[in-house]
Amino acid sequence: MSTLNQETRSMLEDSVNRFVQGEYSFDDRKRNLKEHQGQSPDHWQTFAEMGWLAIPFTEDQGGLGGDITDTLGVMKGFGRGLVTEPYLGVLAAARLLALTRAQGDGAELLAGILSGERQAVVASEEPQSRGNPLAVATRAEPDGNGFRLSGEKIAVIHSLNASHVLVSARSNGDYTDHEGIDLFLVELDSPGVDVTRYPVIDGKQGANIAFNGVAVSAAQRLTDEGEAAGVILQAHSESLLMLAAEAVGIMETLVKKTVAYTRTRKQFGVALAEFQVLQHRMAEMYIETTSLTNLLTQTAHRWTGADVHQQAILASKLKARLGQAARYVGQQAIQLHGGIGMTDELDIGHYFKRLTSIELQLGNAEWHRKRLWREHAA
Amino acid sequence: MAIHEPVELNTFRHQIREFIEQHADDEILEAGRKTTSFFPPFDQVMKWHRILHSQGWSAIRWPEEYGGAGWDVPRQLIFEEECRRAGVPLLLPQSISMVGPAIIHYGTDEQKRKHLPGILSGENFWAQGYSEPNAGSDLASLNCRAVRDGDHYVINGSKTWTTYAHHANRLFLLVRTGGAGKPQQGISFFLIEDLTDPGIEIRPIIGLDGVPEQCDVFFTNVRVPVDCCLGEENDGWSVAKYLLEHERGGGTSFATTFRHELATIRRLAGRTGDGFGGFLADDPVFQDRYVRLHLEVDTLEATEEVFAAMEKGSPESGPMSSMIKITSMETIQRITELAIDVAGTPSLALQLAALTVDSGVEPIGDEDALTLMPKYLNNRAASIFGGSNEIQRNIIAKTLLR
Repeated sequence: MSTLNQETRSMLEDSVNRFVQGEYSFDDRKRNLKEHQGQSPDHWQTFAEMGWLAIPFTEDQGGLGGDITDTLGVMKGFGRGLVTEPYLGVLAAARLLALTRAQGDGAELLAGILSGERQAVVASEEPQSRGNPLAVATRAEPDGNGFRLSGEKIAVIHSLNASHVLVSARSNGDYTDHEGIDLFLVELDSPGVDVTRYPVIDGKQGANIAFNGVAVSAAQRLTDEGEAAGVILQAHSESLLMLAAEAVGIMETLVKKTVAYTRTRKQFGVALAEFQVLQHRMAEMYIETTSLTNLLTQTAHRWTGADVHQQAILASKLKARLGQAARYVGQQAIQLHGGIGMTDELDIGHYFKRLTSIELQLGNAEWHRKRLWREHAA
Repeated sequence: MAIHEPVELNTFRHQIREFIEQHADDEILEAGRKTTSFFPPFDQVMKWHRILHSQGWSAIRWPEEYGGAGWDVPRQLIFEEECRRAGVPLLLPQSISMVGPAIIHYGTDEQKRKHLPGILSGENFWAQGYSEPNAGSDLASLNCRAVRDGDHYVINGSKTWTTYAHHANRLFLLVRTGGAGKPQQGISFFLIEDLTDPGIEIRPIIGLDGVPEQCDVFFTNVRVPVDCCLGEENDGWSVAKYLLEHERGGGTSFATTFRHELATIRRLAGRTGDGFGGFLADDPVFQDRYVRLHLEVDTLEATEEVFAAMEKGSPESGPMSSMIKITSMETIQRITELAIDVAGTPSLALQLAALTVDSGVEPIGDEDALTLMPKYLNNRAASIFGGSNEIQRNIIAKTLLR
């Protein structure tokens, strides 16, 4: 439960907006991508100083005492600015460390993350899992006092400056069983950890991580034997909530920019905005965007009182609806800009690519609809 | 899709198949696999063009007297099916399917003699200078101007979205030569032979997919001889429209190409997990989307067959070409959407090096998935180029309400 008062929340939101307006113009972003692969150390320091890294953690943990819904203003702002820094990925890892009450190395890592000195990521998705965090084929085989991890994780975003990865692996049960999943904290440079890095279409950095019989100690297991599903599910839901807020920030920006463009661009002697077919298209973009914004607001209100299972359902509804809205708004923003919207030079295409990336991450709309159907049918 | 193919057609099919198997080398096939738009990698597609020319098959749909293959529509389709089956790149449309037919229709004997052989052989590649920064959907408002000076015109202005201009050695160009009257009047159609003129500057534009496909082209006091005009001076709009019918209607069977895309997606769905322990190909939602798109492609093929037999430049052919433009481009856009939905997060990796022919860089993940995101991104332009789909719908509505 969040202990933040309204004043603190407003302050956080104002600070993000100031940052995006002051230091994250499209040209600034381009320079950041070129010079720092989109991960400027100075920006990260700002994130720490502003307290953004500490929002959803208790004061005991060195946090501000907020909950995950208090990060949504930050994420909307990051959407508007197309911020490429690894906020979402690192926070997801930190949340798992907090949720598992990690001791020793884990506790130290968490403190380091909150102060901006350290980074970690979560490796959950697998080649066949489509974002289902509980579809785990990676194995944890007992080996002496510890385990050996074998398997492949994909689409790990934001691992560039991470020292550790939190990896799910199965010691028991069938592929999609909730029981039998463990969560391990592994150093990325451990023997047998093979990282393949690649740039992602949205300017971020991705990685596939293979675990080839990686030796881990019992102390590196963050959860009770076979009992990691609950925390993994919760962290997954929280990431989806944050992702939706970023998408809302992007979509609101695209609507605004598209409306402005059609007012100035003239064809056949009149502004594009004079054509009814385009007016209706923009009205539809607005409806989709506002619907998602409203759903996000409602979801955030219901979040705190919901249990892990209910949060998963709320998150699935949000992500499924997001997929539909983001695709329409992104595609129409390009269509209404015409050829110029297809260029690398204009920001519109970059918003579109980030939306496309969001659509596919952590389970696409079809996967989440299927999950919702399974809940209805159960 | 041969249902009870007659023996003579089946023999023909095998002749084509054999020729392709013998002549398409690894580099050409690699270019086919790494094609991510309607415009394949330039060097390899032109190499294949020259090979086809050696057999007289570079412009199969042209009238035979000008170098066409002399095949009926079923044989043309078989040829294209076999090309897609083998995975060779689709020939670039600008020369063969766009300016070629316009020169055949409007050119003087001298112009035909001068330009058609180089188009057929692949020695010359023509880029299309139509759109301008302020004349896109409203093409007739174009501003690039040519002023008569003795035996020459002097061109000043600029063009944009000129696909592959950085590879071209020829350019066809719409310019304003007249002043008074409606915007459509006073436009002329030029055939530019020398792109090395210092007054011509070509600047590639990087697209959403990270590669330069389009270009800006700038003209500063470029002198061209008056006989570069195709059709009458100030009557270039007629030529432009005739050419657009060929561009929009397609000089090739889109349906055949799209089926190939669907087949790739189906293969991928057969080995991609659904996240619950099954495979996507067994998922009714996937199956429904797949079959719907297949039906769209089959229907498109029916329309393409009707259009192929139609006299171009007739009252019916214009709206029909607009209909093909809309249905084909919206179908491929939906196909590429299904593709990224099936491929999922692995398609988010930006793999420009692996996509380059002969780079030797292995793709990350499934090779079938390598091109899917670039195709999705690139094809967002399909409802914009060649006259936006909104403009095509205007053309159809205008015909209906006339």
